[in-house]
Amino acid sequence: MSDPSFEMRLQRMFSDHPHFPDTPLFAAEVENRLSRGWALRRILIGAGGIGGGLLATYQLAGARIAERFGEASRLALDTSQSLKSAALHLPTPVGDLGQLPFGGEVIWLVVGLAVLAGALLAGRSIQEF
Amino acid sequence: MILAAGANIMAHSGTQSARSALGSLHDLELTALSSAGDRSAFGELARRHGSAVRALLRRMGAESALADDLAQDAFLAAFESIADFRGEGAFVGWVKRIAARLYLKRWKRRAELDPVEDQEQGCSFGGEGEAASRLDLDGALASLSEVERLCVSLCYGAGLSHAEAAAALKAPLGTVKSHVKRGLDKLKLQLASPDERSLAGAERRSNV
Repeated sequence: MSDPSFEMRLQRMFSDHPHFPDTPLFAAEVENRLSRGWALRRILIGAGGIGGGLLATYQLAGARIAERFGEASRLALDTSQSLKSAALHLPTPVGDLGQLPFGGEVIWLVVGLAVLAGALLAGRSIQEF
Repeated sequence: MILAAGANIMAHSGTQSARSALGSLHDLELTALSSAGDRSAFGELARRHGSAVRALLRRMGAESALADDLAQDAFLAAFESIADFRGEGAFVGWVKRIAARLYLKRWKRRAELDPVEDQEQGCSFGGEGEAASRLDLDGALASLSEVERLCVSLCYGAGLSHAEAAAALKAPLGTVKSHVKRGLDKLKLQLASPDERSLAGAERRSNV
């Protein structure tokens, strides 16, 4: 059989709790964990953005290379040269920067942006953790 | 208006004066600031109610370190879903319920690995300088079985109804009710004054 007065007494006893002396530390830790969580989120979003940007640049560059590859193939067929000689005329992205479908300044710009983004990311990580 | 006050406080965020300004705000104002992303306002809520949540978890049977970790997790979870807090009840009650559910999840996982016998056990609940009544409750709770202690704490400490406790425990309502009933009977006996205890003893003897 329930005893409302005892139940109320019990509720009061439960709400009367000890005050831990390290409560400020506890609260500070909660705040720190919140800040870490937000920082991590920002870093992940930033890293995602950078990754996406780099991927997009790579895809764009790749598409132009493929375009150029097609042109070179067509050129090779038109001139009735052998496949071997046509391949020799293909641009090699790593071998000679001058043969790339975009200027060298674009590469340096992308590399510079990537380095800058990496530095920002590293700086932010050091600051937050 | 609350957010405007918060903007002023945020301008001084991190300073002692900002902390004391936050200290003068009501829980509802602090939750409004927190839902706008003010972490220091939420820190003030954690400062205010941290002890209550930690104490509840210890009373439910969690060891000190686990209780503190889960209490932190509960506050973080509360911050994540602070927009869901409508202010219909006390903020501390809401966080207590989150904490209780987190502990329950942990307890059930452990119980699956290491099935808990519904038996008497003598867990101690530490803490120095506590009021006598608090010691009484903590001592009395230690005399309950793990399941009884959990059910009683859920219903009277975290404020869950029997049905909510049953749903959280994934146990039949009747089972929870009987655990609560047994727990209450034991607590009543434990918490009775010496006079009441001797009276109860005399009544029992006369019934025999």
